[in-house]
Amino acid sequence: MVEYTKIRDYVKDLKRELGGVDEAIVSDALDDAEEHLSLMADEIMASDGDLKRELAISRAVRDYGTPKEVASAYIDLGDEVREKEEKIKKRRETRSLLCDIFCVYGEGRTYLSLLYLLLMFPLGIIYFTYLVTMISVSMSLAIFIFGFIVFGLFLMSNYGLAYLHSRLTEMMLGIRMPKKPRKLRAKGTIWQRIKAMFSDPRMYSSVAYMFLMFPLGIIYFTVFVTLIAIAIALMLSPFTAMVSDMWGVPIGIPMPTPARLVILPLSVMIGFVLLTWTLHLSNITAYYHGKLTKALMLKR
Amino acid sequence: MSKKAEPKRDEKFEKELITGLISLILLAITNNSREPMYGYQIAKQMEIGNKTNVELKQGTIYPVLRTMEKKGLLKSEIKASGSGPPRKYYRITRKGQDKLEVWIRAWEDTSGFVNSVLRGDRDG
Repeated sequence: MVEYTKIRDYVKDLKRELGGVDEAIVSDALDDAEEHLSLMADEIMASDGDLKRELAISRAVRDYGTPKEVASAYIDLGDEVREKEEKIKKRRETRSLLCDIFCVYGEGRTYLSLLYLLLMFPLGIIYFTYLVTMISVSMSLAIFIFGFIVFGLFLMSNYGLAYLHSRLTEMMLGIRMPKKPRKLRAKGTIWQRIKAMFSDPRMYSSVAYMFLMFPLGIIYFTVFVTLIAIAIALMLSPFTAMVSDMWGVPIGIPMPTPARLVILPLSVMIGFVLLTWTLHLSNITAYYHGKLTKALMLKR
Repeated sequence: MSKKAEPKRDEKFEKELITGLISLILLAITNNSREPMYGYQIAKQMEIGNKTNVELKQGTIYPVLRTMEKKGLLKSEIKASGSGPPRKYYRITRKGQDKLEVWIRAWEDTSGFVNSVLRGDRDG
């Protein structure tokens, strides 16, 4: 058995053993191990004052289990999640083509995905404004030490913001995200913590994500609002025509009655197809956006 | 039952027994505590009560805790600690207490059944 004298080494091996497992589970497992081993090492050292930290850690690891043992316990848990996913997949595979196309209307996740994508627009603006304001304020104050403090606070607030955003993503898109907020791993003086914060790649990837949300939010909003508006307008065209006739208000291009008999049903049909297609598109977009969120927020 | 003077312990069997009951044990431990507990405390509590020969690896209880949390039997809260990473405190929920009652009844029925069979074996 390998003797571990550093929690970092143990965590690295645990991560390797968990290769191929859902990233959120990996993140949970590594957090649990870090919490437990550091607590246990502290306690072992407290009860045996002469003991070095390295030895205390290796003793803690003995009780905690080898990376292989611990990983297999998490993989069993992961299988449960996978089982559920496979069940949904199976149900999808066995359903008819007609349901493949139209069941999208009856599924709650369709509307949640759409709402999530539309929400990206205001959220993107809020994040962007916040990032730009904080970065410019701290840069302009950088000649004083005060600017660095503001920048440090801003970076720290990012951890919380990323956590809230990942909760929202899990709630709305059903994508598993870690249950714990990310944290500063380093211990020690405030300078060491700040250094650790600056060298944390997830810090940069989540800031990049928040920036990216701005253009993406605009694109999502524009595309989906336009598509849905066109689809609904097409589907409502017979009513529009009726209103136009009743009140004598010309709406759209005036058409002779025989042409209407062809064009109106056709536009209702096109509208319906477009709406169905848009809902599918929003599901697919939300799926890939969720993957992006996970990749940029969870990287560790 | 072995009739040897010093029956050797069957660790594999004991481990299987405990693994099957781990959710019940963990849920009962959180139920017995008035304060929310973090993983390490729960693991220690389990070690104190464990009179079997089975050395349960502490790392294996965390995924079980997380699964029970997902099922709504436990609720967790993250609190910062003075030194080291923040700790995740678990507390039993109302649903968890109801589930525990059901599990305890199942355990009593099962153990009663097994005991009666074992007694029957001895008598017969």
